[in-house]
Amino acid sequence: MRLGRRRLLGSLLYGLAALVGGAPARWLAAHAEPLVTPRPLFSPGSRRLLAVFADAIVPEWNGHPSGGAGDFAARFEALAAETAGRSDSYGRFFERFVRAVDAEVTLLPGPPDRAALAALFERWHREFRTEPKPSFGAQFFEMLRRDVMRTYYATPAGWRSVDYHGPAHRATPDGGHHA
Amino acid sequence: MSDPDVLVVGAGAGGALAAWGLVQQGVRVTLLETGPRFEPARYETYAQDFEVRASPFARFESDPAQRSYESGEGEPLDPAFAELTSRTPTLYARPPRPGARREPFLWSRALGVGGSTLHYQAEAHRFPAHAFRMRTERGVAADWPLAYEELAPFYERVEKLLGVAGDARNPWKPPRGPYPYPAHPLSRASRRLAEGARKLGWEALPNPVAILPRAAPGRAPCHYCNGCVRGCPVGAKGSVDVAVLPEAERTGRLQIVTGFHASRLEHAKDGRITGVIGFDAEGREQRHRARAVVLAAGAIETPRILLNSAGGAHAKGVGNANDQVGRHLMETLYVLRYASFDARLETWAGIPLDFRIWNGNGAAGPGEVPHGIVLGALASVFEGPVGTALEGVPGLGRAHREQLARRFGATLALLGVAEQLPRSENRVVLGQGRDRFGAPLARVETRLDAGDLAALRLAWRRLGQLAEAAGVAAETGQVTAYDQPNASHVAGTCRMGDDPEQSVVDRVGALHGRPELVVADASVLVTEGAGDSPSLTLQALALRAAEALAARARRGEV
Repeated sequence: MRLGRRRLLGSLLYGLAALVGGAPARWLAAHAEPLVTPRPLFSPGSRRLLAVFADAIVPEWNGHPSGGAGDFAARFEALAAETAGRSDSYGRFFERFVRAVDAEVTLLPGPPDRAALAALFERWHREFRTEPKPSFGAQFFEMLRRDVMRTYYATPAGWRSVDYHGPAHRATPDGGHHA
Repeated sequence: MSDPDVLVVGAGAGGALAAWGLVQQGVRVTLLETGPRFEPARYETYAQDFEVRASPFARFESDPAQRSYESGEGEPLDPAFAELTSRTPTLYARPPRPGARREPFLWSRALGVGGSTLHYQAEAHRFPAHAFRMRTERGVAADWPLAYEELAPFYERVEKLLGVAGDARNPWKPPRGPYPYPAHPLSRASRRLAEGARKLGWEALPNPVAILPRAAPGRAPCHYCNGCVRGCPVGAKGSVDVAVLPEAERTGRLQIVTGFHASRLEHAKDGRITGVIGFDAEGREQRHRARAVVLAAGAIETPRILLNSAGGAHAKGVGNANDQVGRHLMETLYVLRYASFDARLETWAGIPLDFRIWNGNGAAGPGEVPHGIVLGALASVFEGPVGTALEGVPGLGRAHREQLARRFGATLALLGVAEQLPRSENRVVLGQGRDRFGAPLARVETRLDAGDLAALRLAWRRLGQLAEAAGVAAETGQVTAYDQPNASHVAGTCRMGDDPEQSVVDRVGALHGRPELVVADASVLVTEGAGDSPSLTLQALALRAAEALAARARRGEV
């Protein structure tokens, strides 16, 4: 089953907004699942965030429909634990990710650029429908970071944030611009 | 259509010049190329998300069906040179593994009409005179069978054909006349680095490039988009598909066949080379025949074709009676040090490699090496904001954004290229793997020796000096050939020489004893030109070889 772009976008933005805005307890409770591995890798807060992302990015997993976010989280955690020698650094990275994500939210561009984001979500959807690999955990966040930045900084909104005029209309070796 | 007079295998830098030179002499040529023909007007250099898109050449090259070589894991890294370890500034950079080995060899090339000139940065260097006499003048490597002066007229003609812009005043090179076009102005970032070089007693000189500063027939002037590596959409860059082959085609004597993968040479019982056997895009075997064949498939593919042609009178491979084919492989010894300034310099604009520092090319003094070393800067290393965000700035979130705002347009890569000296044991052989047509893959066997590492270290240190003198605010990472052998310049595997026991081709590129087979690519280089880019030299040699072949044909020797 493929979910529409609108739902993917809405779900992710809602989740992020919930996180940044204090996260209504009822919503979080509905998504938080008890730990299923003997070795907790993530804090409860991290785990809830993961569930948010899972719900948005992986609406379907292993045959479960959208409500399978918890199942995804469990598999994700188990896979991370299997990644011998990398689990700790992976966990630390996740914690850093949690701390940074509120700022990342502000990178999400406004309506003119949402079409690009929708394409991005489609890609995530495709990627995560495949069977996980042992390196999946690390790839998840690497991909997340890469895709957000690639999407945002390839748009006029992203260019404006770094005072860049885009790839066209360059005319001097100093970077001067001629229409 | 009747058979052509000459088959040229490979439509890249050398093959195009060989074809051009032959048709100018009235010779009928069929040019065989594995890759497609690209349309410059369709390059996506200006797309809003150009950084996210793979270049058209990379798309084709990365197709597993095009795989033509293999290489195993490299040698263990020498911890004494650990400062050369590659590290990127991103969050995901990992420390080097204990006991780490060099990464497998990676050949950076482009397949298609134009070959690697499609993605090259158009450096158009004449090798310094001493590069032709390394044994005599530096006591290392070997001398070429020809001197700079013999090649100079061919350099001049190729420069005119490509439209090279440069400044003739260069004390590290032999005296010469003016370039066809004046040098491009240095970018803002390069001027800053030039100031740093001056403080060190070095001189940053304009880099000669085959990039037009003003319009020429059918070609627009450069607009300094810095995107040469993705192909030039206006034809300002002198890639051979734009600057050379159209003129050759207008003679009516050149036919270009794309989608043909040359696999081996056809030869008669007496050893005479009679044609080329290969496969079309659908995998059907095809034969092309001619009186002579020019191999210009690059320094890995050309020896593969020769070795893969073993049989009959060529038991060990064509031209390999003395076990010289594939030997003396020279890769690219490079150092990239990412550097950020504290001021916005619009590093995304300009000619990507617009200056060079040749001060490392003098006779080796204390603490120096006999290898040549050149320094410069690659402004386009991160391209635009996407590349800088991903590779130039670590982290996430607000901190990342703040750093990016400071570093975008202020970050580039200081570049050092050191010459690798030829060694017999660095070589191309036939491997165990097979390509999609069933032919053995080339196997690249290359290691760095103590001299290579010393040259890399010297280039690395000098870049550090340059960074300090130019006021670089932060160095954020580096990539080097110490552990990442990403070779865009590969040469030497069918070296030129007078002695058949020490070389594969003669002084005009013809196989020893087989004048109907000519090699016209970087395979024939004896040395790597003191760190300079080899394209102009191999093109001058290709033109010279083509004219010699035409002359031999006129005399009935072919």
